[in-house]
Amino acid sequence: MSDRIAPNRQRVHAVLPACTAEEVSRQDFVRAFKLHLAHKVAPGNRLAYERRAAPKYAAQKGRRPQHYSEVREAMASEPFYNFWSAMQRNSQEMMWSAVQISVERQGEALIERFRKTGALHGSLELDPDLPLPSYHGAVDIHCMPGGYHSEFADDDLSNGAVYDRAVWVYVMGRMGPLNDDMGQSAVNYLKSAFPDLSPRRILEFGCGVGHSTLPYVDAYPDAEMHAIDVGAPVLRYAHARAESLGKAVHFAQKNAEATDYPDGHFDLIVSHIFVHETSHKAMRSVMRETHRLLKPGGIVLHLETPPYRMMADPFDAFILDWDTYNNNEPYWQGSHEIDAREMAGKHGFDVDSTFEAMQPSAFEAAETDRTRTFQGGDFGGAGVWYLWGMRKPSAAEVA
Amino acid sequence: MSIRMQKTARGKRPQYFDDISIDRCLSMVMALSEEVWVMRERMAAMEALLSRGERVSSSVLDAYEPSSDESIDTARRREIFLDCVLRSIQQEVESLQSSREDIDMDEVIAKVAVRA
Repeated sequence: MSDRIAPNRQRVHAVLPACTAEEVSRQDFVRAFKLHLAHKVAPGNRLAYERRAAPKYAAQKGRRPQHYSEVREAMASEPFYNFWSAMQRNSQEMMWSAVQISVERQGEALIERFRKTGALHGSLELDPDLPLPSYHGAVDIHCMPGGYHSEFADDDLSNGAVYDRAVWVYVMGRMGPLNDDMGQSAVNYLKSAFPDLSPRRILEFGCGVGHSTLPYVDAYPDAEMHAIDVGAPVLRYAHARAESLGKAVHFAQKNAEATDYPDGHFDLIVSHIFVHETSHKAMRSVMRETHRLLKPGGIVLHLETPPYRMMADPFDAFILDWDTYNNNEPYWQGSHEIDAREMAGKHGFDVDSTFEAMQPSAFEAAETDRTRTFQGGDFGGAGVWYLWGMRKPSAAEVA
Repeated sequence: MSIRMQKTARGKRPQYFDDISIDRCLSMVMALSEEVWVMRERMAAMEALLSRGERVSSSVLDAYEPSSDESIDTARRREIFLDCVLRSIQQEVESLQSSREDIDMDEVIAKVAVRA
């Protein structure tokens, strides 16, 4: 058994699924296939656009495409793009399937390890009656069969295990041995932008298996770390993982749109690639709930890939938009149109407290494998994260 | 001790080609490529063990850990393998990159056939 996946290794913990040499071969193959597509095939999309699709569009309409939706229209019948898309979709399906093989084999053993997990450092609170939001039930987000919520046995954590390993394959190891680059990068931003921030309680929305959660435990050792998600299997996994790594986190099954924490309970609320997995309506509820949960002077920060308006041209926005239509990410597009200042103003925050930043990836070791572009199927390839958020007025400012 | 998980993601799968059979065939080709690669790596492990005069069995192969030199060689061979399998699409990228239009074959044949 091995935890190997070339060229780096994922950090071993109590519930990380072990792999036979054959399972590693499978996962390595998918990873290499994804890298091959990102580096060698994807660049052909722009060429096909410039040489064929854009001139054809211009001949018909009298002008080149000006919006990413027009680029999509122009590229709809472009055979090179469609072939790349088909392969990209396959690489995604192959990734889940390759990881599932190893998780299915040891699923019961993982459940046993979860059952033996104590609550030495943190805790786990599940709520089997919590309704599943429709935006998680309608389609399985990013094509992961069963999403974050489906259970295939009692006390199941299989999809937590699948997610942990698949993210490693998906980002091609570029988020570090603990897949924690997003949390680390957000912490780096907070430390430099708000050096005086000394939170007593931190809350993370949509924590999944806790990849981005743990950096906050190390960065703010005096804070109480809370993390919520709607999916029980990922929370069971997150809890067993954090305990095994000796990190104190209080995981709970709650919906970020309406939690039961008291008013003003948190100094810092964070999320990482959570916004795009909600909905237009849900994000408005999340903003209202955030305003309620934050202490005066408290900060909320969301990490995502950059909004489309920050893309150099409509073609780049179109490529980043691939996931909306091809990877079961229905709110990817809507979330990339969010205006942070508008969100602040509509939900009781001071518009001028809004911040937006492009934060370099904290995990520099894998720099050589980056494509330096934001493109569908190359998540984390750019080596930069987009952060947005705002600060609730302090008591003094209100008075 | 195994669990049976859901295999297909909920949500309608996009169709990429005019005939859906082509979508299915492409998936099969890529799945088969993965299988061939897995077999190749297992064979490489077997060769390495045998060349060192070591015992070969399923469990030994399942637990096989390649040396770092072997891993580097594996990565190199895997890239060659992918280059070969995906050659037809790479050819299209190269032709898009080239500023020279390929001349139609009939035209070339006609040209070289002209007698002085």
